[in-house]
Amino acid sequence: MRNALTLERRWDLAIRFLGRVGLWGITLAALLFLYLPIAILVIYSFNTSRLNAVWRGFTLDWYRSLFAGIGESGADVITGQIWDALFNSLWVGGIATVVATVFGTMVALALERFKFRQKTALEALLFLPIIIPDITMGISLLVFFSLVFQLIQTVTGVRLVLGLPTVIIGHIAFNISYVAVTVRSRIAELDPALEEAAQDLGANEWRTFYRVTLPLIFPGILSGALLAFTLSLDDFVITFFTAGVGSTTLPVFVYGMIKLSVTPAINAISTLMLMASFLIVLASLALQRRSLQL
Amino acid sequence: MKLAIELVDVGKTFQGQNQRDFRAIDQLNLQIRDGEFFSLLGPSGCGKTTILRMIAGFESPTVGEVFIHGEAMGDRPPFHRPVNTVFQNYALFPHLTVAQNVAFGLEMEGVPQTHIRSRVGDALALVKLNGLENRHPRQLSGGQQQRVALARALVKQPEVLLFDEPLGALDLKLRKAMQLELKAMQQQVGITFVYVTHDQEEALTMSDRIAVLSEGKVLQVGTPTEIYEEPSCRFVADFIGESNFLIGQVIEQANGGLVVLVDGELTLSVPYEPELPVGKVVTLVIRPEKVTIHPQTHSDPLALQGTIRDVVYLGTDTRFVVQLTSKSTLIIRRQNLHPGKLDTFTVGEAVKIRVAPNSMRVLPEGSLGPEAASGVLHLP
Ligand SMILES: Nc1ncnc2c1ncn2[C@@H]1O[C@H](COP(=O)(O)OP(=O)(O)OP(=O)(O)O)[C@@H](O)[C@H]1O
Ligand SMILES: [Mg+2]
Repeated sequence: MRNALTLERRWDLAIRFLGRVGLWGITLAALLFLYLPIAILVIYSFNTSRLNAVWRGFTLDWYRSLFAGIGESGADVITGQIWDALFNSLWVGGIATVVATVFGTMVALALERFKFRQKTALEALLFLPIIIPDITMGISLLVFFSLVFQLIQTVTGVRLVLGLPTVIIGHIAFNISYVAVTVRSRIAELDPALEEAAQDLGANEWRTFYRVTLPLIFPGILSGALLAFTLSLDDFVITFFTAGVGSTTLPVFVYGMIKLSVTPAINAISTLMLMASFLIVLASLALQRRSLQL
Repeated sequence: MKLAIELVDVGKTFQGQNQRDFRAIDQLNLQIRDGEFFSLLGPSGCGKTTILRMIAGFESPTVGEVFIHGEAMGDRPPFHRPVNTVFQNYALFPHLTVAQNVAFGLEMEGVPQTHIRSRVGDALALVKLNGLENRHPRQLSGGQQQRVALARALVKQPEVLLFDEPLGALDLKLRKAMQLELKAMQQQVGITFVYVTHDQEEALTMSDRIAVLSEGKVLQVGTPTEIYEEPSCRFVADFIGESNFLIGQVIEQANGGLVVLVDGELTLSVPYEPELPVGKVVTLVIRPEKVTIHPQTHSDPLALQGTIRDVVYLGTDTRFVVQLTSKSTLIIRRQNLHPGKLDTFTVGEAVKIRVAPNSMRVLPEGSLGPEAASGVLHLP
């Protein structure tokens, strides 16, 4: 009986050991899988060779070439285009983020605050842009824009074309959903008694909002905005369908470039963007921590 | 006499799911006097919070009207009512410091900064929280948070303060201390307190008057003594303190008293003025501490015969369950004034029970259960 028990116990321990090793192993593998390609990208941005396949030696030339291009006549044409695309990306991301954050927050507040019959339907509609494939969204936006442009042309005679504004509108369209969902989860955690307490102490609706509600849901708004900005910088499909001449964003440009020639300048600029994202995320974490402590 | 708050025929119906409406408050009439400590007492779900929220302005009555100092409130929003609330879970603003929390209400009033500082200081001194001004709510203990919530409401110098079970989250000792402190503070500042609680002991200790509620209705309003000594119905007698209920029938009414037949064999005389027909079923309410137990040798012609069924030592008193000669049992509490000496009654022992006639309360309600049918008085 004793022996049987110890055997069983040993079996338990063995299983536990296997489980632990397995879990750690899989976690490590997943992390490697996620970050190895990125690490390679970063490493090859310092590669002397033009080819990503072989390592020739360390250089900062690609970074230098990026910055040498600014404003100088006779700079590398490609480099200039990279910078144009990057600025487009930042413009689109910036404007789309600000607008989507304002609207998304308002939608989230309305959904949380008001009770109406079609609320569930509206919520489902709000979730839809997150679920439906980008390609569907891209095509539908394209169709929509061409219809609107046609209408405007027949009415006013003005001929509009796709460009940065259409890209921005497209990005706002899908980002509102993400912001609204993020902010909403934060509002749901908010104790409704806090707003009642504010009103009880003499704050009208508006003052209640900006003295109590807004500071408390701010971390959620910030997360939503960061998510929107990241998604916007990242987006390829929807941009691809809504961009016109001169409104190429970085992902679209990189895609076009890969088909022609890959220059490690792409690696370099990607690395810079990666670092920028890291900094943004770190800053937001720090902000959130501070707002929690306050 | 000046009324702080008056509720006239107030009803509140909540729209439930599946179109089912729920009537939380029904035809409620309450008059709360200026400067009194008034408690709303009742079991969970009886509508206490709903009443408080209608006074504060977070809910509006479906029918009826709430008056504050004689003024009809109508749909007036909370921020325009001269009342302040101390919330059940305090509802302190987590992003503001203690001082900022307390200052919030004054800032909303537009009080100048210099005045705010001194009034916040005074309020914090009143609740003994000086020195914690710059802490955030989550850096405070439950009792301290409770005090901040109190200071935040008091600093506004409202005419009426509303409390929704403010001590519910505190441990017993702290709760008792805070009860006394709140009561003292109420007398000091002279503000009307409307205090919601489901703890009858708390209501008895603190209140000038109590309203006992059940299922959205007021059953009785009175001073703690009235509520305890003269409960108006069985629910109140049962909810406030412990009670024995003996169901019987009137066999005689004479000289301002009733003779009641219990279980078809015990006759008890009780003082009772209002006219009751012979044969009427009544409930006798007997408080456990008002019954005395005596050894079998005790010679009192009015004493009842009984047998001890259970003895439980409770520290301050001992609780006996005594079976009467009929099928009824009585719970009896006796203070342990002389421990050891008097606790000599043992289970199974035959004893004599003495119930003073004027310590029984007659409720003209109740019905005889089917098993009591054999004991029913047959009227000629
Ligand atoms: N917003 C609401 N919608 C629907 N029903 C409600 C709503 N608020 C309260 N009720 C119902 O009204 C009744 C009274 O609720 P209330 O909160 O006033 O009870 P309470 O006496 O404060 O109870 P407790 O002691 O548990 O706090 C309950 O049955 C509750 O379910
Ligand atoms: Mg309640």
